[in-house]
Amino acid sequence: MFRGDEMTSNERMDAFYSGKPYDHSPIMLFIVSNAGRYAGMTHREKRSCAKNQAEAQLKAYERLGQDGLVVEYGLLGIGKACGSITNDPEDSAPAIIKHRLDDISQVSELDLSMVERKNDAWSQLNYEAASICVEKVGKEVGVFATIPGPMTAAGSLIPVEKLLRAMRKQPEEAHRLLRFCTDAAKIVIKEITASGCGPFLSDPIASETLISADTYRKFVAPYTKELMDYAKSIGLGMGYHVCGEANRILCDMVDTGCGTISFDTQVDVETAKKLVGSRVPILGNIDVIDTLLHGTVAQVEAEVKNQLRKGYDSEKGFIISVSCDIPISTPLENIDMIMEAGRKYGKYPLNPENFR
Amino acid sequence: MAVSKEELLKRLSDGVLEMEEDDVVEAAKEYLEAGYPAFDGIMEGLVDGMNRASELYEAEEYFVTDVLLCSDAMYVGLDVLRPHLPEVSSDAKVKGVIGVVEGDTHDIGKNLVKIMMETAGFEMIDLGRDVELQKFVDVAKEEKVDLVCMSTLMTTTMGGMETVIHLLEEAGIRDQVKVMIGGGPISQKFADKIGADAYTTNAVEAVKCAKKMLNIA
Repeated sequence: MFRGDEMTSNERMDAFYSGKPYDHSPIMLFIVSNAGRYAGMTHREKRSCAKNQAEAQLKAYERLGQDGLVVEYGLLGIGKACGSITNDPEDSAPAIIKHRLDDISQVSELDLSMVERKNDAWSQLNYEAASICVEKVGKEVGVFATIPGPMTAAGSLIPVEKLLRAMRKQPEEAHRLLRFCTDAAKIVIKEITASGCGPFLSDPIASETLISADTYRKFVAPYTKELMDYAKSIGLGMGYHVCGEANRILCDMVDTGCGTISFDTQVDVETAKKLVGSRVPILGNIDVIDTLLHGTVAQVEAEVKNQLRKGYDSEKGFIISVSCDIPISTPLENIDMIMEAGRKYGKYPLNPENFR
Repeated sequence: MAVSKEELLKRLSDGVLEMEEDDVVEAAKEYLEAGYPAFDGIMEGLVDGMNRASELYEAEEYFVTDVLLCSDAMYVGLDVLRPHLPEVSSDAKVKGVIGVVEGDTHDIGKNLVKIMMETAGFEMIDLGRDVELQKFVDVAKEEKVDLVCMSTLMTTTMGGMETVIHLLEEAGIRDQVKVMIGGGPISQKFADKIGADAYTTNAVEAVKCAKKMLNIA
């Protein structure tokens, strides 16, 4: 149990999901890229081995007591496994410098077995990291692994511009690629969750910032639904995040059957509450750039109250959270304040007087 | 009977708007065969189509994919018509250097800006992505550009923009260029903080802003 709390995170989340009383609003943070900061590690050190991946999460949890650890299989995992090449920056998330596919017509060259843990060191690393976390703290808090959504996985195999063009000009091949990515994601979900962690689906490229809602419905939604159904078939719920603009696809996102929904600053919590609050718990979206990275502790505190004000009465529940992956150089005190303010103003039963 | 110039210009414009590369190429060839001036074909045909596309993009009826495909059609048309332009001194065009800052490989936004800026008549030197910071300055100096455009989607690379501004100062050319920045984590606040001349949220705005800053109609 975290100091000062009355329940463990698992007890809190069980109560939250089943409509029973809990101690304070759940607080879920995407401590992914910046996790190394909690263990005195650069991003490269953090991602270099299972022990470090786990230690970064455990140290963050030790300091914050947030509702969920996040093991970073990451957005590029499927691409890397199949032969895309990434760079190796010291203190930043790797990026793809050479995609596996130059042209969509090469889809048939892809080999699904390359994604399997026995063939992919990165998947094995994350499985081990998740296992360590589950072993150490799994009894009190949930451990999650990030899984790339079908479109983002496709974007890690072929340059995104080519993918966008293919979706219009060679839709059959584009579908073939998305089919591959969906099948690959299922393997990843199955193998990583064997550690005892839960899956969380992140599909930044499926954003309306890049594609129309219509394109999302044709090319992303069906595959995403398949992944949600798959997770359920192995007894797991899966949270879902899409970056950027998502107002017109929010309902479609929930239609896929996700367990919780998370969104970027472009979607207002009030809007989400109205559109989908009656169907799933919603995660808030404290602005990771303007508020967390560039803001003061006082601004963070004010924003937590603002978030609660907007979302506290969402029918299926509101979870204090952030708009995206927390930037590496975010001041740690700002993240501390999310926890402090969340525990203080989000004390149960939620009282709007507390966060006016 | 020769097809009228207006009709061919419309076909060029429509071809771009409707992303029909083959139609654009065919119309461009017919246009040249009919003896009409390449410049008008570009400005009133291809560029007209691209402008219509960018209006639809602003209205959120066209999306990124549409703009990319329209630009593909525009560029194949340009390949046909450009060689037939009269010699124009390169001093006549306003020049800009554009790229994604060092450490970042996300370039769709930068590509959209480049396309729209070229459509608007700017000569854009595209340095690509993951561009060494000093290179922005070196090329700006060498090519005597009026505009330095930088993009990034990542918070870890944002600081590079401030470094480039310092390097421009050190090279003694900060006053000779306008610095325009954009990208996911960028904001007006950030632009003000680092001393950039402008921040814009999308490619269409970038063109408007550049024209305003450089006093171009």
